[in-house]
Amino acid sequence: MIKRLAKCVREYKKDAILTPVFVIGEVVMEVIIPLLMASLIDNGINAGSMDFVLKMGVILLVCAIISMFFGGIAGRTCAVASAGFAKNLRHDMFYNIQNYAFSNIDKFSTASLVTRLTTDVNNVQQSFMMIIRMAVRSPMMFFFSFIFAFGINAKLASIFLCVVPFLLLGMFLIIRKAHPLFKRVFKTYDKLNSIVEENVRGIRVVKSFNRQNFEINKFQDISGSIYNDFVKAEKTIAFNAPLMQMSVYICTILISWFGAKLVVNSGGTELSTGELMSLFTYTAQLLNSLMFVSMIFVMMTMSKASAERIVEVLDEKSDIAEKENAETLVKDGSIIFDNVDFSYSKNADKLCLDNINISISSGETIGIIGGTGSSKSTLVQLIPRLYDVKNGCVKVGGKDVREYSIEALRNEVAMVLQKNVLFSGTIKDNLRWGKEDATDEEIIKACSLACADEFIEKFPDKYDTYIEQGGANVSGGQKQRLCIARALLKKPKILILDDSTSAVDTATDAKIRKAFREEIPETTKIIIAQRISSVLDADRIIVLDDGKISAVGNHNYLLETSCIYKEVYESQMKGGDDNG
Amino acid sequence: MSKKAVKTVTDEDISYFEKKYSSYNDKSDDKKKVKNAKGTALRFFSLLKPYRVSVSIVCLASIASTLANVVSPDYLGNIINNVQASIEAFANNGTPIEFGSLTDRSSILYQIVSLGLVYFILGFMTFVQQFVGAGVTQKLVFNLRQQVNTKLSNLPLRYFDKNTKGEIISKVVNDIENVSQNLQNSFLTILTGAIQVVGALIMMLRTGNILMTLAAVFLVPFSGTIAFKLAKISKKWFSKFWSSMGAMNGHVEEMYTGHTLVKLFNHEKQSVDEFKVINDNLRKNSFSANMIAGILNPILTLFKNINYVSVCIIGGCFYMGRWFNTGVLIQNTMKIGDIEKFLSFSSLFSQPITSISQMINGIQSALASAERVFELLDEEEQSADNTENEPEGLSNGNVEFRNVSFRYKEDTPLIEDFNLSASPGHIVAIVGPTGAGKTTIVNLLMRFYDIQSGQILLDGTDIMTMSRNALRENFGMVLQDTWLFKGTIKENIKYGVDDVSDEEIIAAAKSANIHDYIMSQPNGYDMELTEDGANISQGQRQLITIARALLKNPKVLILDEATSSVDTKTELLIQEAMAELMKGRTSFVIAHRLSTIKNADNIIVMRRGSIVEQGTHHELIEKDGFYANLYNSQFTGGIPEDIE
Repeated sequence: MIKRLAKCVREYKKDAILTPVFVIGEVVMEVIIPLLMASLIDNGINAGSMDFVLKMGVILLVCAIISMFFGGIAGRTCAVASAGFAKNLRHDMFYNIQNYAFSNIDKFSTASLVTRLTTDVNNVQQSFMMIIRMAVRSPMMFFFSFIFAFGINAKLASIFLCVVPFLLLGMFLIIRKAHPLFKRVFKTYDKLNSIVEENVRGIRVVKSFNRQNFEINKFQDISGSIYNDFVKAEKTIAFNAPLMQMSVYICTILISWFGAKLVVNSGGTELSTGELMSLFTYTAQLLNSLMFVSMIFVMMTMSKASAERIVEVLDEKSDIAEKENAETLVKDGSIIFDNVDFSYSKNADKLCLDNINISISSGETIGIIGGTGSSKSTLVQLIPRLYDVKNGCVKVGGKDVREYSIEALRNEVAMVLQKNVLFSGTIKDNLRWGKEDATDEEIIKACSLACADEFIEKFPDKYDTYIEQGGANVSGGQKQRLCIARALLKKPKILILDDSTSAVDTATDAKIRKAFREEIPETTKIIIAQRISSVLDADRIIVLDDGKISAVGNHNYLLETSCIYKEVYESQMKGGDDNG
Repeated sequence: MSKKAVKTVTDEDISYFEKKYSSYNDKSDDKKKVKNAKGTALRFFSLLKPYRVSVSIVCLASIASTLANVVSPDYLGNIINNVQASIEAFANNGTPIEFGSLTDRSSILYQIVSLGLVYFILGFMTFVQQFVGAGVTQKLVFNLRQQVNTKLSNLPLRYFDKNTKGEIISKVVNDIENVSQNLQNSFLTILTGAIQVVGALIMMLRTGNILMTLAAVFLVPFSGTIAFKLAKISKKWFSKFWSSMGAMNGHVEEMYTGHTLVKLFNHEKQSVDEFKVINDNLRKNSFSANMIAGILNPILTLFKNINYVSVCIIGGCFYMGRWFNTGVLIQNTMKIGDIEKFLSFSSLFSQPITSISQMINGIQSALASAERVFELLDEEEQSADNTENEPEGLSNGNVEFRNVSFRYKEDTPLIEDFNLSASPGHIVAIVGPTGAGKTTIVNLLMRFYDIQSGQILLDGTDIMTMSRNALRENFGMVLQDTWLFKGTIKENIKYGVDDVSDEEIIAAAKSANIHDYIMSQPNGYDMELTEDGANISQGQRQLITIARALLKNPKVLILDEATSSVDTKTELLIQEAMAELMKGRTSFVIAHRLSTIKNADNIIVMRRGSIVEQGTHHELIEKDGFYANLYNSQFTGGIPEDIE
């Protein structure tokens, strides 16, 4: 997992490596300073040499400035590397997601993808900063402090060797006890969130069933268990700081006791006063660095989950792959379904589409009707290769769709979806999705074909009207017409309308179909509809039932031969006088 | 992949995206502003009242540990002084110095034991402070959460319709968390910090050496100012960072919601380009924010070191008794240990000032969070229940609207002088295009909203004169937007009633046509549903809610007939189950089926939120108004939304 993430450092590798290097420089300076201070006191002040004091003072200042310099540079390179790393992570994830097939996207929800790209990346970025800065700094600090202390006086430094194992053991025990508690708390937090969400969303149901108290109790239970775990965890953690302090203090006391003895008994030859003072400083530095190590450890385990979620997205392979040297020219708008079987999941018992055979010639208008769940949408989604067939093949322009480059194929197949999506931006922005460089004339033409011009003209800003997020400021029918216009701008060879005029009134619906017939006769048109009137005048109508083609033919033919068709027709046209 | 490959982001580009997706930025500056900082802080402290004892212990322990911390350098310095004196004595008379006895206050032994004692107090008090403090904070959070949650169930529906789900949840979860994390910390930091600063200053001044004191602290005001300034700049960058994060959020969400479209229109490249612009801007802001945070410490360390060096040099002068090399003599007042003392005091003095200035951002955001939570707690609750005509048991199900007028907003009339009566067995169909406000009737019947004038009567009793609970006992509701929670199927079905036998649950499931499906599942009635019942199909979810309503056995039924995204077989099952449910009850049906509408005893036609027509099918057809228009444009194919 770490390897996979490390790949994303890329152009920021230099900064990522330089950071620890500078950090080491900073640490060395910070460790040298107490040593110089000791020398200043012993050889300067104590010896009564003002020149030495001043000289040392200057050296100390220089060291302090170098330390700041290193620290500052490390801060900078660290920021460059971590911000860049995060950028690359987001970039790679987004790229990979763009290549996902639908079957991949269905695996993750939109909300979860967004969290992965934002919150999770932030967590990993924080950890990354910790690693390249603190994870080097603390062990280095520990190491150098110890070496220097050892250099001053090996016997006194061995005091550390006695205390450190106890401190480590203590910290280990604390983390071992607190960590599972914290983990449980975070899990319970998720539960709390979902309960609050459930309640806010279902507030009407809760109230109508008079279950407020029940829900309050449920919330109280969870909130109470968070409270209990948290208090337990924090009470365990409460030992941490005192443990740390006690270690420092015990070391300090022991060093003052033995150190004082040593200084006094040797008359300052084996250990000087200044050196004794620097040992105190090293005690604090050394033990503090251990504390940081434990913090880094906790922090890293916390971001582990985030890292895993990111890698999941990065490693997901697209199910639809493009062929090499793929065909880029779609000859015409003819479509052939040849023994097509399809199911969404690989091991489903039942096929969504079962042995579909039909040949549609270029320019034909095909209607598709059938009950909910009869796989109408599934059928047409195979044409622009949103999914791959299980068996058989779908041919467009005489060639298997898998032979084409995906871009070329989708440029020629325009599909207006059941669930209409408009993006925030002006009407023009939205329409230009169909054709980036569309001229105003082209846009107006497409809108008039889709009967969208009539209402657009009524807006004060006309084609520059701003569409809000999700198209909140236009009605359902207007949205549908805009989506049709957007598809028309592509000038496709095949146009698919998946129940896209359901919110448009019948008269306008008829007008749109008339325009299609007259203005774009060469385009193959496939119309899925609930309303039978939308497909009445199609060249042929496919009646789908439970994933199979039940009948094909024009209106009159079907009325005579297909009982499903007849039933639907009668229930709709005659109003279903008694049984609906 | 080189940095240059990314097209240069202009401020215009990015501010366009940030504006466009501003609603996604939940950490915007507006959200951090505190309107009434003092009032909010005071109110927060008043929450601590029940924990007076614990809070006092925490405060006292913090004060004690800070004081111990402030005096400890004195002992350490004295030890060094003694050691130094011993060396000199040894050099002069050759007598090794004794460690002395505990009764001799100037002996090394006495000093070391005292230091040990001070350290023990320090360690122990820190422990007490943390241990007791953990309990207090968590208890406070627990209670605050409880208060907020109870409050939510007492708020009128209006509040939930007005605020987004995300906002409400964020208040219950994130804001409370933020308050607990930051306020406790900041409060203690400020308290102990103040004591530490004053204490260190007193300890230094006590020596009477003003010059040394100055040498120890003269850069602290600068480092304080710089820390404060940098925190401010870094805050600016962080808020920029969050606003690009919002833009990223919005962009990504739009692209994924429209994934099919992106694919169909070969729009990947453009969407990637946009993404790159936002992503690179995010990197820049993240870099700036983190860099400023990253260089702060080295700068502060430099200042600390400069103070150290000046203490050493000035201290050296005092020690040697002359003013540098000038030959000007000064009183020899400093010993080595005293210099060490000043070094420690210097860091004790500067540390809180810088840490407090760095903490200001956190305090601000915590106060803002607290304010939002308090605002929620102060929201007006639904009117108190009036129980003057509290019914005993259930009604017969006779519902009457008498001259009812209602509007959500005062200046937009919706329902004016509306009359209707329905009794058991009657069906009232509510029809109209999507978004026409059909739930308004539900809102009024269940008293989710109160009407402005007129009366709604249940068995002749004004529903305003009974408790909401008693009223709602009479109602059953099956909406298209099914609501299931995480739990077993059984728990979900028996949601409405407390004591109910397994047989009754099974009977209800059978009438709702869902029993066979449940039995076909591995755990039967104990099958765990995931959040919102996402692990079963929409149709099955609907059947379970029907079973739930059947089990409650209500007198009046509110039903939404819509069965979209349901396969034909299940649709039939649902229709059957609904018919079963409606038997012998007064039903208000949000109708989608011709047969229902035609059989209805009364049709309420809604459009754009208000009731526009009312009557039976024949009456309305003859009237040749909006309903007739709707009807003629074919019902079954989905109701057109924008018929003009």
